This record gives sequence, structure tokens and C-alpha cells, in this order.
Amino acid sequence: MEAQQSARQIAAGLETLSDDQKSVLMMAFYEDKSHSEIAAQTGLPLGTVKSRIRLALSRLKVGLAQ
Amino acid sequence: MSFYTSASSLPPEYLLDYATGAAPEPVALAVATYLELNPHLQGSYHQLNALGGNLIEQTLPVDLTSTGLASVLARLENEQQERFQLANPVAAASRVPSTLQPYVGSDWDNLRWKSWMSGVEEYVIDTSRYGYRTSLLRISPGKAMPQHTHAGDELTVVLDGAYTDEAGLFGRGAIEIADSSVSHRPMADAVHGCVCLAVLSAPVQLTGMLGWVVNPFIHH
Repeated sequence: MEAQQSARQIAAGLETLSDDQKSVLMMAFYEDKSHSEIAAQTGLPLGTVKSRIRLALSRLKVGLAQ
Repeated sequence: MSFYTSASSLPPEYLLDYATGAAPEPVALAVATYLELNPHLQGSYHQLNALGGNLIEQTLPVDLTSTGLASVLARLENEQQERFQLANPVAAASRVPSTLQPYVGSDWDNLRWKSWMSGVEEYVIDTSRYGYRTSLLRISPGKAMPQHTHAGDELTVVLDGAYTDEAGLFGRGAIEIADSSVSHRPMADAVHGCVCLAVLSAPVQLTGMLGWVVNPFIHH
């Protein structure tokens, strides 16, 4: 039951992400790119990629320390 | 809800790389070992897997056949199966996390450690095919590694005892990730010493006086 709630939460949260935040997650999950590969491919500084990932996961409330 | 703000916990982008299967094998080994030692964080890992499924469901074109979606999801699932199984908390019988046992056995006292300076021993796990140097490091009580920085990333997972460096105290189950911006001199706990798993994407650079002499010899 908890897993279902969390799936709904995730789905709702995805709507609230910026395109930049969503695109790093898409590259991660669709293209199996690591955060350093995303930085290399997009030309973004590594720190920018890291902060977009952290902001996206924070907004989705997943993957962070409980 | 907060970020991993502690210096001794895993940054979320590394957990994401592990969940998507993008982490190189030696990095995945370090993350899997860390998760085994921190079972309370395994929920975060499962959430990331669920997120992958949700992203794909939400964004795949609707005309994609259900088999297509199923195969993508199955692939995500399989990638996890092929990688390290998330292990249960370490059995009291062994100090070696089960994730590491295929590489080093169940008792590190039985390994053929190589001592490359006083109080510092190393057992290398061959991951050279990935371009990484992976090893167990055993530091005697109160002894320190030489001051060094890093050409790439260094992931260190503490398996036993503890060490301190410029970033703080790292006990069993802690992880430290250091790069070229970090110069440190890890010193083992005065009573228990320290055993850790170290994964390096590039050789360390010794920065003290010793480095001038030793650096040419430690590059691999």
C-alpha cells in the first residue's frame, strides 16, 4: 500500500518539475547516463547536473535520506 | 526531508546512477556495499526504481504497444537483477559485507595484504578492465595515509573501525566521496584502526613532501 501511495506521489510530483530537472532524469532513466555522462553530453558543469538531480529528487521526495 | 547533507552519506546522484545501472561496476560495488551497511537507505533506492517506471509510463508515446512498455520495464528490472543483489544487514559472523565476499572472501585477515608504507596495507581487487583501482585498505590504529588529492573521484566506504580527515569522522558504514578539490590525510581511529573499501577512477596524487618521491611509482 505504501508503494502505491508513493507511486501516486511520484506521478503528481513529476508534473511540478521544470523541463531542466525533468530532462536530467530522462537522460538518467532512458539513456542510462550517469551524472558525469550527462554533464559531458550536455556541456553543463558537473555541479549544475548534480544540483538539478538533487532538486528534482527533493521535489519528488524520493531517493533522499529518510 | 533533507538532502544528504552529511559528509559521510551518499550523494543522491550516485544513488541515481546505481539505480539506473549507469554506475561503472567498481562504483556500483561501493554503492551496494554502502547500502548493505545502511539498510535504512534501501527504501530510497527502491523509490528511485519506482521513479524510473513512473517516468517511462508517463512519457512514453501512448501508441507504444504494451509489449514495448513491458520490455522496457523488464529491461530495467533485469539490469538490477544482473547487478549486485541488495543484501541483508551483515551477519554478525562476518565483518565482510556479503556484497564484497565474492571478491575478498569472508575474512579479510586471510588476505595477502601488501604493505606499501608503515601502518597502511592494501589488497587490490582487480577492476583494471573498468579503468578503476579498487582495493581494501587496512590502516593500523593511529596511523595515517599520506596527504593526497585525486585526479578523479575516490569513493571510500568504511567497513570496520573509523578514520578522521579534514571533512570529519567516518565510521563503519560511512562513505566519503573526494575529488580533485579535496586534499586530505585520513587518520585511522587510535584504538580500532580502519578497514575500508576504496574505489578510485584515477590515481591519487600525493601532495606532501613524500609525493614528490612516490608519485611516479603509484600511477597505474
